[in-house]
Amino acid sequence: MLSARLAADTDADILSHVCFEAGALGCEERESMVIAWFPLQNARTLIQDVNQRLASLLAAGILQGTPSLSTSVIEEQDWHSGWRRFFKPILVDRVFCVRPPWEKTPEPVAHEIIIEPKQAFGTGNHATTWLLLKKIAELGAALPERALDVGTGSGILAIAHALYRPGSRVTACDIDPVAVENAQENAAVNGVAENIALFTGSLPALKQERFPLIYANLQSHIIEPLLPDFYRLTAENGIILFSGILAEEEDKMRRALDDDARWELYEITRRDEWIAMSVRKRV
Amino acid sequence: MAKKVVGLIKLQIPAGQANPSPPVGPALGQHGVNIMEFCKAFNAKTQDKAGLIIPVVITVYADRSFTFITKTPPAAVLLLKAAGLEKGSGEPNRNKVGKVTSAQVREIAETKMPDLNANDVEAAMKMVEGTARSMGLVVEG
Repeated sequence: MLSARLAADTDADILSHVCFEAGALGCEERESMVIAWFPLQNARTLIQDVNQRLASLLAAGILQGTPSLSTSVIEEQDWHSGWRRFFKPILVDRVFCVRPPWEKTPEPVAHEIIIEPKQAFGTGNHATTWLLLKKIAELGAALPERALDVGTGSGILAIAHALYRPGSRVTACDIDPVAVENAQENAAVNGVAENIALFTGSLPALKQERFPLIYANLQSHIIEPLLPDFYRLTAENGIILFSGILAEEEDKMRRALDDDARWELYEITRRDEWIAMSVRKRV
Repeated sequence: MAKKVVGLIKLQIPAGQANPSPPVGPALGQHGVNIMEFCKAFNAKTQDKAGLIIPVVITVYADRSFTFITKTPPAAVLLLKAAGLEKGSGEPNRNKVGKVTSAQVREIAETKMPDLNANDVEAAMKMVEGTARSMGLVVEG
């Protein structure tokens, strides 16, 4: 495969079109540059064609300045699975090991959570997920029979809860139908599909039920306006585990909880630039 | 979920034909994105646009999950369609290969407006006219 890097002072769409007309298989647009990919056969002819087209655009005054074109031959690689090297097993105490299907658990743990990394957030590779997995691991036998996971993504937290509290029933939702689909697949792979009720939507869809435990790995600007809904859905003395909050947003979240005056913030845990807040509903 | 964006990848690939070969493989692989998952989703979403080049922007999050949005086909592709041509001119300064009307340019500009950095349709039309010139198309009317 031949990779051609093309830079010129003009619209990237024009550069891409030049490459496609010359036989490119596809293009990537980067800052002030288009990288086009050509089959290696007839590479010289193809590049001559690109050069001629550029010269012509220059003569027509469509390109400003001199375009630059550099090429390199890229050996065929295992493009199909190279991305997998980024995913390694993640241990949470000796309770959970989150791993993709192709990795093995490096040491004995109570529960493996298998997550196929797809579009949904929650592959396990992020501090915000880890913070709540850690809380689930710590709660252990205190995990209630029912829980709600808001913004479930890959379903990882709901799955962790269902695995660590056998017989539990977790309601999980996400506004993204693709995430709900991923979560359904992951719940099935981990053998807890029957314990997790998934739906596409958000808190207003939940009318009657009250939950003793709610997971909300969202973002502070999403959490704040939902506080009244969270209050409505939390059982007496119930707790909410908020994650997805940047450390620099701690004061803002504290103020939002204080202003609401119906919450007791009883713990903050930290990892990297992120914090998780454990909050109890005041009676 | 707490999504933090760590990468934006902009590709142009034929509708319904994404596969792990370049440009998809190298572009997504270096960010740890599940390539086959993207290909499946992109091909499903664009299968009804066979023959068109589709720009796609892939957003990669900190945990290497991703989302993508497809955009309108490049102006050049829409111009070729409007002019009834397979290819543009290799020498647009000397060799004019077809014509498009001002009304067609306006229609393309309106189609492209959501994806163009243009304040109004007139500005978008100027961009489309520039692309037409780069392909050896004459704008009439």
